[in-house]
Amino acid sequence: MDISFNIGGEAGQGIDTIGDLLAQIFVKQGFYTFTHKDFMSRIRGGYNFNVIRVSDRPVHAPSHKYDVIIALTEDAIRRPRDSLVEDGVIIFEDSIEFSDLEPCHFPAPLLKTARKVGGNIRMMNAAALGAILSVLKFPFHLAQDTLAEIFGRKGQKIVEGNIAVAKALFDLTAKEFSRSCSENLSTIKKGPCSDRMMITGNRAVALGAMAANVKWVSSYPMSPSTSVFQDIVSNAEKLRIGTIQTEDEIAALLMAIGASFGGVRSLTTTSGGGFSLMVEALGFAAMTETPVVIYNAQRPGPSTGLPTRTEQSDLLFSVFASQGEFPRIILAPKDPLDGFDVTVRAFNLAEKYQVPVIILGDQYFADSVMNLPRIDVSTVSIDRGKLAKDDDGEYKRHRLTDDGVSPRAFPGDPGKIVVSTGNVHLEDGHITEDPEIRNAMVHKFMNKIPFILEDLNHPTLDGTSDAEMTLLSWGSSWGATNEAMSILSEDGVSINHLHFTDVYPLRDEVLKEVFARASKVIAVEQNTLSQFAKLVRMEVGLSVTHHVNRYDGRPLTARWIIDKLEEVGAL
Amino acid sequence: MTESAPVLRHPMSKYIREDRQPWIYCPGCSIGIVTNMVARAIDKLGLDFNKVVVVSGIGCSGRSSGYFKTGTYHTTHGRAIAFAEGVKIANPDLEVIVISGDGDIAAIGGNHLIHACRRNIDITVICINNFNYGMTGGQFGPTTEHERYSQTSPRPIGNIEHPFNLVKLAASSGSTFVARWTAVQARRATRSIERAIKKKGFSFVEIIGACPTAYGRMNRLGDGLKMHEHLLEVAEIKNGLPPHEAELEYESKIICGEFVDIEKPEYTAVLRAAHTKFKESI
Repeated sequence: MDISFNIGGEAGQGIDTIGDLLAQIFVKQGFYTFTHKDFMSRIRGGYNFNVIRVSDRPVHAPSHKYDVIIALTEDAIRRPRDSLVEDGVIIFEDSIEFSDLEPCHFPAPLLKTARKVGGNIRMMNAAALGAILSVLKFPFHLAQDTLAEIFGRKGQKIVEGNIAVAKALFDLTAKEFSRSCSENLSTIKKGPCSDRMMITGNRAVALGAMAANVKWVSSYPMSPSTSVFQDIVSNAEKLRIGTIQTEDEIAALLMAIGASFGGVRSLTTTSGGGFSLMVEALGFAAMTETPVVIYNAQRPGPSTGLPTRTEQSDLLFSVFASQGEFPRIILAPKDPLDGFDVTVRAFNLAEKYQVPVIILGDQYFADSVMNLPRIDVSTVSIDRGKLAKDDDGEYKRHRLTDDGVSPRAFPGDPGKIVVSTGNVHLEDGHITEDPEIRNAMVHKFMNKIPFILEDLNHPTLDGTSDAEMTLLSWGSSWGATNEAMSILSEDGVSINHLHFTDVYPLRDEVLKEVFARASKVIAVEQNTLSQFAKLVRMEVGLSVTHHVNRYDGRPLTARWIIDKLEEVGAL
Repeated sequence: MTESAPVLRHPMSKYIREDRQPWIYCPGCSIGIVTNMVARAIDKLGLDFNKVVVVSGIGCSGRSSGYFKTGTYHTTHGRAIAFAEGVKIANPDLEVIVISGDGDIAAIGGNHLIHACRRNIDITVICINNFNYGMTGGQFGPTTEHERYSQTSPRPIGNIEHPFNLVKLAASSGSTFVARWTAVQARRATRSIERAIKKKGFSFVEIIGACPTAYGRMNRLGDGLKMHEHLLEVAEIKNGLPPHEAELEYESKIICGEFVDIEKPEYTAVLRAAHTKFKESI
């Protein structure tokens, strides 16, 4: 089973709710779901849609075709028409003036039924759901139980109203609309998936940070990162986390660095424009060896770009941002589950090596919803790195050591004076211009890099290890790229997929092996310049043979990648 | 064929890019009203549209510039005033008007606001203050009142910070014309905008507006109509009041009027005079 739904309308019409209800029904039945949200940068109006994909196999990307479209505006009827499968169905609110009717169209009285049967137009969501389930021949009683559960806390009246409205549309559709989907779910059995936790990439980052015992978050709102900050703010009282919304991103990172100097794990969340403002402070964190974690949910740039859409174009910016040279770590989660793990590791790595760690998400990662297994927080380990002991002698914040890491102490620790500066400094943190000390401090910075590399994860290689063709991806491109690899592999193409979550510094062992074996290596990236491929060439001296780049702000799909592979002559 | 009723054109539509409509604003939002005020002020003054530049920052108010048929520049977040200063200094013949929101002007762009006031560059800044960041879903900002709720200052505690009073801020930073009105006092506000544009110096006009979708909903202030009715109720007109007394308490009292109208040497004029003097000396 692999069904895709497109639910479209204006901002503020409730398309999220219909999508959530639908996804939850399939999650309860044991299926994998993936929801992608496509929305404009506005609060009301426009054309937004959610794509929900349901499958009995894990899904990490939207499909390029829709089986069922629910439309609450004329735009939402017309725009996705060409992406409808041949025997697909378009259900639309019948008060919309639309006369180009085809057999796939079903004008449904969603608002009317919500008002008449439920007594509340908000129950239009349940009406839409009833119509969808009907064209799929989905047994209504299964959905009924889920609806009762979802609406349960709102009271019996709301539960009964929603169920009645859904049932009314379910029956009406069966009676008045002869067409049904090729997917007939009348004999649906429990699916194989027991994962029930439905979260976005952003929520996974927030949960990861809280599990890693973050005690400080200072941020300035910026799409698509803001929900991480909001999530942590909502839990701040309970978990005793200091949160502050600053006047801009310059203050946001500086406050986070200050909090870290003060002794707590700290985070700031932003997108590329905000990260641009943070660059001065990034170098300051590096020079003072103050650990800090920066989450950058990327969006298409430059400048304001496309605020609610996706791109992976801040990679090289993150690698090079700031004047001067210093070690930094860049991690890019491939999906929400990875987002939790990456965030926990980001805090540990930041404190272990006393360097800034940048997590590169993007809008696709940030806003997409998947059902995940329960995360066992007790498995999270916290490594605060080297901390000063009382018998170390006179405390020197920047003491020279073999691995480049000096034990940390915090202002107020008895008997220890903690001194640091953005200038070149002595071991004790005071300013110097001595050339030998300058060199010693540069070596101290750079000595950390081999240890960091040892600590980073290798890339993952899926598919046969000796394939002729390798798809190379990083961060959130994993899902669509991996699916493209599976489809092509099933078609008999000799292909595998090499993927990096830990992108910088670059671990090159597997990379070198793969390049030695494959005759074609294709970079699949959501940017124009194949930034990761450029990084590989810079660091390892190896060049990919083909490039597949998407930069229109829309998510990758497996089909899009395969078409492009043909276009660039890789297939 | 049936004949449809004639559609009357809005009198200000000659200044507005109708091909960019419908507005992106939510029902009940004040930004459309303020856009109209600016268009009427330009109309009344008979400005050459070719010589007007409307500059804005980011957010809902930031989208206002794009609706004007003038030269417009939609800048990055918070930077509208800094950009506008460049435009004015490069060509002092241009009439430069900045329209932006409270978050844009007073948080991330707060530094630029105070320094432009201090420099006294002849630009007009119209700040639509709706007490929150609307476009990103309603976070608190530099004008959000203490203990008000927002996405980032949720119940039960609310905002622990205190707001700027933008009239006091602009006045004490050196602005030569400072006024405040609410979105419902359209005629008075429009007249102040006219004076602000005419003023040879830095002018600051704050328009208190409603964001029913985010701020209104989260603080249970009612819909757009109710919020605007409230603005009318609590607005107290006190022209000429010393700016440090121009209080703003959303619940009970919004002091409106023109508070500062003083003469000071204007930056581009001083710059020109200095150049002339220097040239004469050699």
